[in-house]
Amino acid sequence: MSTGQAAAGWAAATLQPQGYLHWIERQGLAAAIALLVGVSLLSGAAQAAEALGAGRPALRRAQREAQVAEWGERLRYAPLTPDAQRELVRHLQAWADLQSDVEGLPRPLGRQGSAVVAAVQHTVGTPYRWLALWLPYSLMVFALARALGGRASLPAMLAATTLCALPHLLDPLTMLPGFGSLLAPVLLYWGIAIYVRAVQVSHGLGLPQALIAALAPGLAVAVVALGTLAVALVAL
Amino acid sequence: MAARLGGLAQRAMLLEREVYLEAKAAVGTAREGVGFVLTLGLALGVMRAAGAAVAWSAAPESAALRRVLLEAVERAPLLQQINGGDRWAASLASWEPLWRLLAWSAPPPLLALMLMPAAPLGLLAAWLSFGLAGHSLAQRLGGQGRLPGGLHCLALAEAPRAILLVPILSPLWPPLIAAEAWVLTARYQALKAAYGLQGWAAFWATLAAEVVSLAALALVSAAALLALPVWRGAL
Repeated sequence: MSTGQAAAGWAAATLQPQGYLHWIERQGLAAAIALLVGVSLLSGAAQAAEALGAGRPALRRAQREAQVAEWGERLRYAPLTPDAQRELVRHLQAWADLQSDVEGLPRPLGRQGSAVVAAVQHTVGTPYRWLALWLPYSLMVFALARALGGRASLPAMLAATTLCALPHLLDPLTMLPGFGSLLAPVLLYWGIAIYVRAVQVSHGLGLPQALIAALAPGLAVAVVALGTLAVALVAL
Repeated sequence: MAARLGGLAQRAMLLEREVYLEAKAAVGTAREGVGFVLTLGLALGVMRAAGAAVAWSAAPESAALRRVLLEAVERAPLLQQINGGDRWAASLASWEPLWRLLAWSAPPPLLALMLMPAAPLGLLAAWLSFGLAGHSLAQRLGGQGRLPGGLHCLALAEAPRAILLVPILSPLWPPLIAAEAWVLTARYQALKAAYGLQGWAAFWATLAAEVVSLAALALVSAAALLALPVWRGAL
């Protein structure tokens, strides 16, 4: 990474407009996608290393059960009735059991070999998972931003919004014991702030319009998902 | 011929509008677009076969996976509370197309080799179906351009599928979504350049052509999956 790229990255991470403008005008979409792929590979490799280190299926089953118990504790603070909380925990437990059962099945390469292949598949697949989320979402945001008076070209907005990957350079730190639950939400909201700023600067929009364009598609998806879940819970 | 389009592919992936205008200005024979799409499809087929071999070696055997999934459906808390939910496992167990699709997600190497020709043929069908739908819609939305020019630009818009040329991708659906979204973006640029459309007209033409094309391909694929005895025998 050149000094110019690093300076532009730091300016963008601290939400300064010149960082985004430099990235659009001087770096372009190729460098932007390289950034997204590089950061996601790092994040995927850290997760894969943690999964490999978790060891035998029996140990992973115990870890999943502990995770479900932790979710159950957190759900106690959610605005749900005790019955709904118990139902959700039962579903999470059933899902965790299914994951453990599938993981315990025999494979042609054996347990160790398969675990290594799965780790490589997870690492290499992470940039694709990020692209599959970022690109369709950004297309919706682009259409909405243009409808709200935005002026950016599609490649320019795409290049600027890839900068939301920058905070995830710190993803490996979330694997440290005790750090994950604190750091992960900070990195998530930092990334969202960079995304909103990128939409604002690249399109030349005001903050309210940029917020609507950047967040409305996500809110719409969340409302539909939560509505479906609420209808399902009421129907039961 | 196809190499000329191949030379423009990298810039096409980066959504440069000028590269689609160059492709429109340099319309070659129909064989050029077909050659480019088939070459890309063949490379994807070979990589998919290699990837399937890797995925198969690390995946559980499909019959064992089927058994575990059906047991999970039987125990699923949600289905235990729905009237008739206890019959779901039996219904799913007898729904063969689902299990064929599951087996195809990590096919044995021999089957993966048999499926290899499907990639270039599928890509050719996707290109042509989108090209015809896109041409018709672009004309209706005020675009000016001929079908060969449109198909030439749209062949170039298939270039982002090159991101699938990695043999160890599993599960395949996130890369497929990423590639399809990227190709859709490139198709937007291609229709704009090939037919001289304005932004919103190109947007609606691309979106509608994608829906028409995907619906047509889904229908043909479903019919082939259910009807062709050779696939039933293979699985």
